Parts: sequence; C-alpha cells; structure tokens
Amino acid sequence: MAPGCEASRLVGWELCPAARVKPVDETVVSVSSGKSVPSDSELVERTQAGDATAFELLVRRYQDRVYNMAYRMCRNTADAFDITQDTFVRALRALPQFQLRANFFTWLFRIGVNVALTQRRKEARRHAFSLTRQETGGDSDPPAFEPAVAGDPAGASTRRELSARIEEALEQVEAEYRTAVILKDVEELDYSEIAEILDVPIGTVKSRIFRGREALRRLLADWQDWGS
Amino acid sequence: MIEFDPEKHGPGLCAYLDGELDADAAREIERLLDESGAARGYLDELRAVSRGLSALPRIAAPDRILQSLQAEKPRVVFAGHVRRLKLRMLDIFPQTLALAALLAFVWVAGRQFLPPASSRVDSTAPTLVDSRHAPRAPTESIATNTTEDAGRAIDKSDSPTVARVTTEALSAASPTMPIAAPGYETASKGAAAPAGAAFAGGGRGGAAVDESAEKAEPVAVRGSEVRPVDPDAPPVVNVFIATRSGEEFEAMNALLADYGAKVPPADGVQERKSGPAQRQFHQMELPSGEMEGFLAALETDAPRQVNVEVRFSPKQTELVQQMVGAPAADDAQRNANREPARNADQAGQPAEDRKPEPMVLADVMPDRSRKEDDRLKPGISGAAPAREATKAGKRSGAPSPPASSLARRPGGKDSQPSKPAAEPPAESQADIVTASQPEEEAAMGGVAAEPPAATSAGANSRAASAPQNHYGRQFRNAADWLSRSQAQATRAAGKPTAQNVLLNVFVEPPRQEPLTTAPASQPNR
Repeated sequence: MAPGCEASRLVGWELCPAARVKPVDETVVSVSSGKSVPSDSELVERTQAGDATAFELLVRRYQDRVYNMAYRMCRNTADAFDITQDTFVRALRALPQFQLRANFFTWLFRIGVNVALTQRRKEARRHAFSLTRQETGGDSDPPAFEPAVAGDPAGASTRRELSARIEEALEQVEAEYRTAVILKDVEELDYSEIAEILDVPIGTVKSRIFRGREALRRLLADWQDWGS
Repeated sequence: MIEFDPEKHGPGLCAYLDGELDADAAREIERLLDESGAARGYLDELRAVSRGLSALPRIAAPDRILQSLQAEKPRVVFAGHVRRLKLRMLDIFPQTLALAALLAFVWVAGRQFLPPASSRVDSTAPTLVDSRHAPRAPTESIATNTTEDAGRAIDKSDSPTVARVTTEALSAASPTMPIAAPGYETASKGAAAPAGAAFAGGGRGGAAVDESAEKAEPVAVRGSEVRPVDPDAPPVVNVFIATRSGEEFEAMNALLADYGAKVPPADGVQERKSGPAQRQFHQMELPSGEMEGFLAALETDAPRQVNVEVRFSPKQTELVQQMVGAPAADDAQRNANREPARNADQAGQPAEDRKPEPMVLADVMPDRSRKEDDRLKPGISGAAPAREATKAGKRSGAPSPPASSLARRPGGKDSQPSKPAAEPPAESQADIVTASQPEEEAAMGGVAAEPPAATSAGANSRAASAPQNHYGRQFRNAADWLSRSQAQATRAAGKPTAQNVLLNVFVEPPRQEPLTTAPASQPNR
C-alpha cells in the first residue's frame, strides 16, 4: 500500500482507491482534510430523506468493492459491470425499506451476491457459449489496482501467471464455495459478515470456506510456486 | 497421538487460519499441529491458497457505473409513479380492463383477417440483389445448410443489428431452389425448404417459421449460430458484402481475392437513395490457419455490410458440441471439486446421456452499452498492427486505405509468394491463443487505449468520429473463438485438426445512410 493510504483509508475510496474500504460505521474525520466523512447510516438516512447526493456517495464508497466481487464471481468485466449496476439499482429501489439497524455494507453485498448468483444461474440455464467470453472463463482486463511493476518483470510475470491460475481454478469451484472463499479471502470479510451476506449459519460459512479452499488446493496442486 | 484427517480437521484448520476459533478450539488445533506434520503441511497449503486469493489484483469499477445509475434514478422514480398509477387505475377504473380486452380482441382479429404478410412482402420488401447480377447459389453441400446465405437482403427496419432474409433476394439467388424466407412468415409456408435452412434472423428480429427450420436445432440467436455441416465438404468461406460502389468496394474485392476468393464478375451498380451501391457474393476455400488473419483483415477493412460464413470439418463439430452442449471433460473436472456424496450420481454419468443444449453462439451482435469495454480490450493477434494503423487512419479522418494497403494474406499476390500455411502444429495453434499477450500486457502497463468514440451522439456525429467499421467486436470475438476452438480441438485430438463448424457472423453496423431502401410500408411482422 502506498504511503499515506493507511490514513486515508479512513476517508474511504476517494484518496486511496487501492485501499480496501471498510464499512464506515460512524462519522469519521479525515486526517488530511479535516472534513468529516459521513457514516453509512447517515448517508442512508439522507438518501431515504430524498438526498440524491447521499446515495451517490454510497455508490462511490462501495462501487469498487462490489465490482471487484462481481468480477471475481463472473470473471468478465461486462458482466461485472452489469451486476454492479444492477446491485446499486436494486439497492436504490429497496433503500426506502432498509432498516437502519442493519449494516448497509453487508446488505449491499447481499444484494450483489444474489444478483451475481442469479446471473450465473441464468447463464447456466441458457447454456450458451458466449463469444464474449474466453474458454477459460472471462476476459483479461488489466487489473486497475495492480501496482505498477518496477524493476521486477520476472516477479510480475510470475504473479500474473499465478493470478491467472488462481482465477481459472476459482472458476471451477462450485458457486457457493467460490462465493464464500471470495468473500473471505478476496474481500476479507469475517465469518459473521459472510454469514449475514449469505444468510446462512456461521458453521455453514466455515464449511463452505473450507470446501472452497480445499478445491482450490487440489486444483492448484501441480503449481509448484504458488506457495511462495 | 491424533491422526490427521483432512475431512474432519479441515474446517477447524481453516477457521484457525482465519482466527475465527474460540480459545478452546484453537488450543485443540494447536495440539493437532504439534503432533501431526501432515496437519502442518496441510495448513501451510491452505494458507498459501488464502494468500494467493488475497493477492489477486483489485479491479476498479469503471466510472460510468455512477453515470448509468444517475440515468437509472429517474427511471426508478418514474416506475414508482407508473406502478401507483396502475394501481389507481385498477382501483378506480375497472373499465380499463374491459377496454384493454376489447383492444386486444380487435388486434388479434385484425391479424387473423387481414391479408397475409406475404402479399405485402412481395410488393414492398426491399431487394438487395439485382436479379441480373444475382449472387450465384452456393454449392450443393452448402445449400443443404445455408441456402438463405446465397442471397441476403438486409432489412434493418425491425432491428438495427439483425439481418433478415427476404423472399425476393433468395429467389433471385436461387430461383430453382425452394426457399424458406424466415421473417416473412407466409412467404415460406408450403415451401419445401432444405433441411437446416434456418436463419432465424436473430433473437430480436423474429423467428424462422418454416418447418424444417423448426426441426433443425440449433436456433440462431442474436444473429449467430453454429451448425454441423457435411463432414466431407472442404472448408469454405462465404462472404457476402454490400458496399457503396467505388474504392471501398474494390478494396474489399481485392482483399477477398487476395485470400483466394473466386471473385465473380463485378455486379452492377445500383442507384439507391443513399447513392450508388454494389454487392457481391464471394466463395473461397480458406485454410483454417488463416482464418484469424482473414477475420482480422475483415475487421479492419470490411465494408458496411458483410456476412461471413465459415464451414469447418467434422472433428471440431464434435468438439464444439461438447464445448457448447455437454462439456464432459469440464463437468468431470468440476464435479471433482464438489462434495463426493453430491457427485456420486453425476460424476459417472456419461456425456452422451446428457441432453445437449442447442448450440448457440450468443452475444455476438453489437452491444453498445459495452462498447467502451471493447475498445479497451486488445485486439486479436495476427494483423493487429495493420489493423490499428488503419483504424487510426480512419479515426483521423483519413480516407479508406487503398486495396494495396489492406492487410495481406501471407502468400498473397502482394506479398512474397509462399505456399498457404497448412494446418499449424499443436504448439502453434495454441500460440494463437496466447499471441495477444504482449498486447494485453502493454495495455496493462498503461499504453493508451483507443479514445472513446461518441456513442450517444446522432448517427452523423457517430459516423464522423467512430471508425467506419463497426465489426470490431464481432470479428474479434469470432476470431478469438475460432482460435480457441482450434487450439482446444488440437489439444483434444493430439494433432492438428481442421475446423468443422459453420459459424455465421451476421453483422450490420450502425451507419449513416442505410444501403437498403426502406419500403414505404413495412411488411407486417
């Protein structure tokens, strides 16, 4: 992470997009600008009261995470875009009924996961071979947050190859296990959040994460360098 | 001494790794780790998987998500109003339902008793093919599959991206052959259409209705389809082009001739409202190894309307059937990842027992909402530099390149004479797939992508700012798909295999002035 990002993580995506934005549970004050950053619940309240800019802030705050999750689920930027868009549209529609007791972030992710899973199910039903997707699953857009490689092209190449292998393997994992693994290892959520998002008990989350990792371990077994 | 069992201890180890265990459970796991080297090794592997996943690059959301939501917001509000209005109407005006039913009845009755569509088609359907210069009918082996492709009139009145076949064009193309004219329902009724002569005109444009077409799966969706072809037939590429007369037309003909097309005598020039127009039907045999380059050249230099058909050999038909219908190998691999109990009834199931899905190549037609993404994607390998250069010239307003500047086939008349490449070996086939990696890496490294073209402006501004050729996505997709299916076929067979699938890529780009003269009254659809 770039210097200074740790502090700016507090103020969300704006100053450090590479930072993994955590849900803002309470209003915080930006270290750099001194401006207060509204919490999720505050923004939700404002949105419910008809403040359009508040929802825009929520979108800006979480769009990268939702998009990243969607991309990892479907491995296709176009689908990820659609899923992200659909997620926020649904959230916007359902926001009037949103209970402020709940965590907006997990609620939003729950919508996103459901949208992504629904999309994948639809695709499976259609069983179409899409020309927009490669056989291996998706397209290979440049990962925008990947830091620029300086002076280590071999390492970068290995990392890219490893990422590609992991992504390919991930796609072969059953959807429910993949979702759990993505939420845990990619999105770095804890078990209780994942349980809330997936609407399953924590024991099930534990089991799914294990199954997903175990499947990945088997799929990547022939990859000698992946441990390093 | 605790004996390590991954099934039993795995979830606990995972939770331990994630720090999600309470103190007692964590102590138990630590005791297991102290006593069992296998458990330690297993934990290390799980940790490596977890770290690998955490190290995956983060993908930033495109900025347009917010823009699209801003566009969506009024719609959401509007939808709410409509819903309330509907409810109010149902509450307050129950007569609305009766009125709606009456209107529906009138509409249905009108459709029943009005003259059939064919009578209107005959008098008004546009004809792209001059009967004097009708494209020759395809050879018999082709005709059994793609009769309609012999002559195709593009009617964009229904959908701007869907090609449709008109009766007149087909009759002109092959007057002795019974023709089914999908899209014009009654015109094809009673005609003994050849088996498989189904072109559904795209999922959005209407469905083929002739009986043979209904029996012949798969159904074409969104303008593209894959169908098995005669295994003994040689690979053939049919190209039907319709361009403005002049330099562009000559350049296209030269390009096709360069790839070995048997160019028939030049068709006459037809005067259209939009100016002189000309169309041509080419047929050529193209080694599959050159397919990618050919499609890349088409991407760069194809005129306004072009239909490309590629017929392949039988082995790859099987491959594609597996790939699209019942991918046995993939299933087996995926099933291996599932819980054993859950798999027990599926893993052993032979692929033949599974009902194959219709082979459909979807998502081929232009999707302008995804246009920006496509522009950012690197092109396919092969003629990419020439293509980019040509595109750059077109963007900058430079005139279309002359025939001599078009991407040339290796061994073409303008290049050094060499024998057309035979089927490349397995390695080189696979290389086709990965050949675009440097471009991708360049793109990842921040090399400037193509500047976005205007997408929301009117047709005129679009025509002025965007490349003339709008097939990029289709041909890139087709070429990608071809390369990959070739590589997969080669891998599966262990040796170079010919292609064996009929791939139709029907595209009709947005254009400033339609080539087709829209009839005064549209046929009833």
